[in-house]
Amino acid sequence: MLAEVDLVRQGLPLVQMVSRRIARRLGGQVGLDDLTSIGNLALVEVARSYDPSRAAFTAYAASKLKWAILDGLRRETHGRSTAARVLALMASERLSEAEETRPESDAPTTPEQDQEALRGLLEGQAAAMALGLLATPHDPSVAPTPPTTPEEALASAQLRDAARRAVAELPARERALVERHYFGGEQFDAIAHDLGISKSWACRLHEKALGALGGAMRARPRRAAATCDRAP
Amino acid sequence: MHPLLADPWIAAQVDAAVAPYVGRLPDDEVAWMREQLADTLANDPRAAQLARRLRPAQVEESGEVRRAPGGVVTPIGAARRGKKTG
Repeated sequence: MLAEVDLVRQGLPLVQMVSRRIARRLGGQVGLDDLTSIGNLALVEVARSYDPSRAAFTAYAASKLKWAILDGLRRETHGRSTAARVLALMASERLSEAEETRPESDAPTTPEQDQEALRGLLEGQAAAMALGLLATPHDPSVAPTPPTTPEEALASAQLRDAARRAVAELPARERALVERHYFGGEQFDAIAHDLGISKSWACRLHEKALGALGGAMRARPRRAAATCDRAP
Repeated sequence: MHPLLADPWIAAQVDAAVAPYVGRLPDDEVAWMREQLADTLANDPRAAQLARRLRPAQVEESGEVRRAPGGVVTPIGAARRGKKTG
């Protein structure tokens, strides 16, 4: 069995890799050094908590480091725009992880089913990011949203309202998870614990909720347009 | 811009997914979401697999043909390639 120090040595290139990927996904809003430094600190704990009987170190560490860096950023980021993107990325990553844990099916699919699956996946990802961007940062140190034009402020308020109405239509547990996390600022793990469900089950509920939200958001502009068309 | 977005088919899938948010989120955030979705199509195993299955094969030339007297059939693309210029 590898000693902790060997695991840390093995994990250093992973810190670089994960940091580069997050920096790229944040559109250069956070310096690579800042991400690497959060990752390096987290690596020690990752090595300490590793259980070789459960997973390969590389896969385990890559996932743990990703969440440690995103969580560190969420706590330490003081710019509203970056904080919103971090929340959006966390939502997107959570959705991807739920997708990865789903057992693969060998059943043949038609192109129509594939198209529907791809559309659902992208819509869910878009809904996850939009919710993350709209989420209220509950950390008082996060700077308030910079002034926008009245049109932008109105559009954003309308989207938030549409999202809230779509969330209200979800089944009880999914609604609680989404409302408390995105609009209440509560930590995902804490909500799962409070609801008495495992983190992986919460991820699957989250995936289901976001898929439904994506579809609901697609339908809403059409309804709004139809209303406008009928207006004199 | 993410290189995958240069592909019109990929761009169409991504644009359809962000359509509900256009004009409702700031333009730079919608642009950022497009980049992230392209990244998903490149790196998420399931999304990448679906895109590979669905994306139409690249067609380099049309199937249009020229019928010459005597029944000789020549693809127009080939005729253009063979045409001397200058």
